[in-house]
Amino acid sequence: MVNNKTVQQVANKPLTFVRRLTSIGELGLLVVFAVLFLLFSIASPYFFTVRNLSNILGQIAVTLIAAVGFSMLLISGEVDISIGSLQAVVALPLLAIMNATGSFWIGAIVALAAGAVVGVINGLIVTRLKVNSLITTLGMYYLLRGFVYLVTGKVPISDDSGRDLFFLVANGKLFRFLPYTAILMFAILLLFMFILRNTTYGRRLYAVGGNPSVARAMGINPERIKLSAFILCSLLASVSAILLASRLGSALHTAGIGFEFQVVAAVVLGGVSLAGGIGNLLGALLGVLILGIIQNGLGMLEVNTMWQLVVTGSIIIFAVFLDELKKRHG
Amino acid sequence: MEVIARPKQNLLGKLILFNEIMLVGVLLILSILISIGTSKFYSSTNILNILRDSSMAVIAGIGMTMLLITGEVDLSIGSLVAFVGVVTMDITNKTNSVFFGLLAGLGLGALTGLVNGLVRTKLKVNSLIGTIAMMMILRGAVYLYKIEAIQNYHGLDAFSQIGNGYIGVMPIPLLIMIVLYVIFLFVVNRTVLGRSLYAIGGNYTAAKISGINVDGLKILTFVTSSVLAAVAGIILVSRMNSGQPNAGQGFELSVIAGVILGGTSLGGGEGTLIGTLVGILILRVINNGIIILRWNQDLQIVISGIVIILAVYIDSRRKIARSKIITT
Amino acid sequence: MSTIDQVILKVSQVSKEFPGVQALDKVDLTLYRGEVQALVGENGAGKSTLIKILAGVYTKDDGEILFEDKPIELHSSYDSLHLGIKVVFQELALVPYLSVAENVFLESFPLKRNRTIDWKTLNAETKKILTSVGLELNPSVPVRKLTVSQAQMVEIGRALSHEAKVMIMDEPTSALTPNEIQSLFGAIRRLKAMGIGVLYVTHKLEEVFELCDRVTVFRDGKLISTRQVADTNTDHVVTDMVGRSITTLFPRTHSGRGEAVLQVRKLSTEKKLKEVSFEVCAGEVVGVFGLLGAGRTELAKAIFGLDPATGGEVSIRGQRLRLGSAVQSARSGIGLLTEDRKEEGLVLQMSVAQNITLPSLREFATMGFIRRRDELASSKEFVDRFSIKTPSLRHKVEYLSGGNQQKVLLARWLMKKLRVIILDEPTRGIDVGAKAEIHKLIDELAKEGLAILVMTSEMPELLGVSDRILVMSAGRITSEFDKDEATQEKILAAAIAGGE
Repeated sequence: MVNNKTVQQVANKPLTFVRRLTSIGELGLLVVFAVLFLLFSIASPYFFTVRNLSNILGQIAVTLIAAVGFSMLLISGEVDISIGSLQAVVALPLLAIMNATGSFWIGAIVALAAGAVVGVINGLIVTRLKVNSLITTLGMYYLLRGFVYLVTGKVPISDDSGRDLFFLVANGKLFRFLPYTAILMFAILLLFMFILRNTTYGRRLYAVGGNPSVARAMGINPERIKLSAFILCSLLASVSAILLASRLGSALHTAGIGFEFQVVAAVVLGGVSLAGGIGNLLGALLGVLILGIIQNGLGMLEVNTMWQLVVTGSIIIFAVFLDELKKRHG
Repeated sequence: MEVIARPKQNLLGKLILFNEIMLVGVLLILSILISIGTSKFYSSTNILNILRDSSMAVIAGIGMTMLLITGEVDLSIGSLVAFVGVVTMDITNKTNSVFFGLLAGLGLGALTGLVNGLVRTKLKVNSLIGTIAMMMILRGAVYLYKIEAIQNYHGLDAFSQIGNGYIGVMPIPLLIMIVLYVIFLFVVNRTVLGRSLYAIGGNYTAAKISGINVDGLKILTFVTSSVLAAVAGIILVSRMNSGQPNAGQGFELSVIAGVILGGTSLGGGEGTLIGTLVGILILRVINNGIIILRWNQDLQIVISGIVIILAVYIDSRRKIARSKIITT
Repeated sequence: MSTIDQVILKVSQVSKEFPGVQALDKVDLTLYRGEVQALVGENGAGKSTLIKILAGVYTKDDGEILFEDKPIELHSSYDSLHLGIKVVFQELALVPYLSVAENVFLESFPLKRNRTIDWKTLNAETKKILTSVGLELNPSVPVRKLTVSQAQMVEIGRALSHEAKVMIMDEPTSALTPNEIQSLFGAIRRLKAMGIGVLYVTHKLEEVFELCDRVTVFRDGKLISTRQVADTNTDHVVTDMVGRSITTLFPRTHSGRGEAVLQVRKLSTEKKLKEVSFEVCAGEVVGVFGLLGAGRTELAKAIFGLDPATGGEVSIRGQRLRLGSAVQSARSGIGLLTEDRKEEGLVLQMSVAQNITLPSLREFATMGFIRRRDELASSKEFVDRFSIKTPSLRHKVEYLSGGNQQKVLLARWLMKKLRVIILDEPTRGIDVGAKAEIHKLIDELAKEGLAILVMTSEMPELLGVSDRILVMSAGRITSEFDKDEATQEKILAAAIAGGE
């Protein structure tokens, strides 16, 4: 009886803004981000400059766009660790077509289509053949990478068309300081945050990841939703791949190696659970931002790039540890 | 309603339920197919080569299997292999003694395993994320330690013998692999320790209540896995006769691929060393076949990918067939 | 009370077979509008199978189901829901991280003109539904923060909003406090008044007689009887269920007491327990009763060391135990049978023999190597002694029935030669026949001199099995009764009293 009353009291209190934040868990991340930001700003005079901040935004764009798709897939209860290999694969049709036809847009569209096809394949294997998604995409990770090596003979395909547009995609800036990639990144982020929060589709992603049998009973088709999530993940990873190719100026057969781990780390750091049904894109954003400013900040301090890896790894452990603590005593 | 169930006992069903037998069958079929394609396959040199080249993965696979049985995973072994290689070579050079070099390498492995284990048990960080983080840390650390490859400075012969030498017809790495394999086969299948690992992976709380030192054993398993990976790293550095900081990329995934192919479940509580051995051998035979059939070498990874997906597909079909029988 | 005259659901000669087992054998069942019908039977009687067929989870092999006089085919849970048949299972069908409102309208959200979710309408409509089942709750609360009772009500509310005509409840009260049970009964009576037919599956016969109009008994997959509740009594029903008349369910023969074996002094935990102190003597069975939230399971886990303690001490025969160390407790001669045997007790992938010997492995090992033959021989002894039904010792334990699984767990502890055993809800979800066997085993254990602590929420079991009864409330022990002076009323009063 005491229990009931207490829970009901809690349940009846209106959710204030701060309580909402803490109950979601992003407050902690925000704090970490703010602290790091402060530290780096103090440590290096070049950190807190318009130029550097816009660089940071440009640098995290590739990771964040893929992270949006990856998060949505994770929320639906599945995972795709082939997105790194996808980075290399998608660049192939992009460069090939650009070189052949001189058109960036045609190349981009075909590239996106190719990425979507991979997403469809992944999705079908998981939903129709019922193979565990970690394994399926592990297999795809190998398959795609091998495919790229085979087709390119391990030789990068450079941009012979010299299209300005291609260069500008990753390197251009609006008003000379806001990278186009950052604009794209925010547009995608906001769009999907909205979809996730306010549409039936978005809510169903959570249902499918949180309790698939219940979802099914409610008339939701978990297979179809998961398939769509796979396609979204690959599609967004393809967008990232195009940006990456633009930045590299070529289709590199080693592009994206290790990418999937970065994305997983950022997203989990941001509170999206590996179990499914939990987390949101705000958290993913914060995760990517935190890892991004670490990379950038350490670079500013002229710290050996290899320290970045060490620091990033340590921060991930620390953050997940904090998260576990919160879960146990919250 | 709860029923006592009896799994269908027809012969084909029985055969397919025996995972290991089927895998061996696949291995044999593959070998036969490749032999048809070229006479170079079925020669003692080639077979010994295959076995020797598998030794690293099998040794690491032993540890990975044990970890997966307890429900954990370690993705850092690739970076560890590189780090151990570099450190072993470096210390060997600095002390002019293979012994101290080995000690340093194995010690590093043990330390890494200890940290992984503590992060999992004390900080309660999921082992997938924790070891991904460790993988990053180690990779960064090895480049910080030495940015370019370290050569066998003193040209110590004993050092390169580890990876390249023979005792009679038996390559030394293969010998090491066989010895370790047999030891762990006994430990996992026949001892209290082995049974406890399965219990921990099968039901952590039940194991705890039964008096099993769950955290202690998990840490021990992490250490074992890392030390075995260190052994693999030592074999590698010896074979190349130099410590390369960029070694081992993707090693962890190829080991996991073989372990999973061999039937070990990602969920814990299930898996056998025999399956792991056959699984890794299958992948190696495929790679070997591609090389001697003179196919494009990059096909190796493509085919590995397909094989993994196929294997797990078949395995999940089996699990579904079994679960249809249980009703609660 | 509305007229009980129209048949809403008619199950005719329905059969269902699983490999090796005839789960349902030409059963008939008729449910009227506005009636509450109880469906009782031992485990394996077929109740669960029938419900799952009605829920669309299984498909029947033979027979006919008529809904509103029309034959129906149920291929999926979606089908049954849409016809108006709602089944509330023990594992609640809600998505934990979504809010109450989102769960209620999961199938079709109210949308604004631009196809996005209309939150205002969503929350307002949900509030209406909640009020209709008597639940005052903020609709935007995530479901994971609700109590079991509240979540159940949400499910009922949701079914109502889908215009359910038949509501089937599967053991709905196993995790509820008496007050919550009364709220549930209130909701069910409201459903009755609305003309909804309710099928109520339970093990608790006292609920049948309090709530239901008719009671149907299944046994071994067959329909045995359907009677008006007013025309029958517990003995009749039990006889039908079991097929033999049970004279004493709880044969407690031994009541001598040795010296104190388990001593708990001022045990406290962070969240619940407050300075709990008591003793259990050798050969004594101490029953612990408490309402949900009183702290019984917390006490069991804290004594054993599965959960950390913030203060106090636990001693076995004078030897202080290190608190919070399950490993040490296990080695000091305490056994713990947890509330949730599947989640915390059994290693499902292991065999019967392997589960039984799990804590005792060292005794079967020479230099670390397990002597398999000895292991099997010892396990066989226990399987025979307890009549554990299993095709073989190597059979995986996940295939056994609940009662037999529980016996496997008891065998495990007996093999270990313990001094103290803590049993948390030892007969939950187990049929009457197996219950009696387990009570007999507890009796034997006491005869052998073990100190036994039994946590139970079933009053008859509590009164039958215990030499002494401790009543807990809000983390404290509020009363103690000797076997002879205890009555249901006194115990319940003590359980409620300490609360506020």
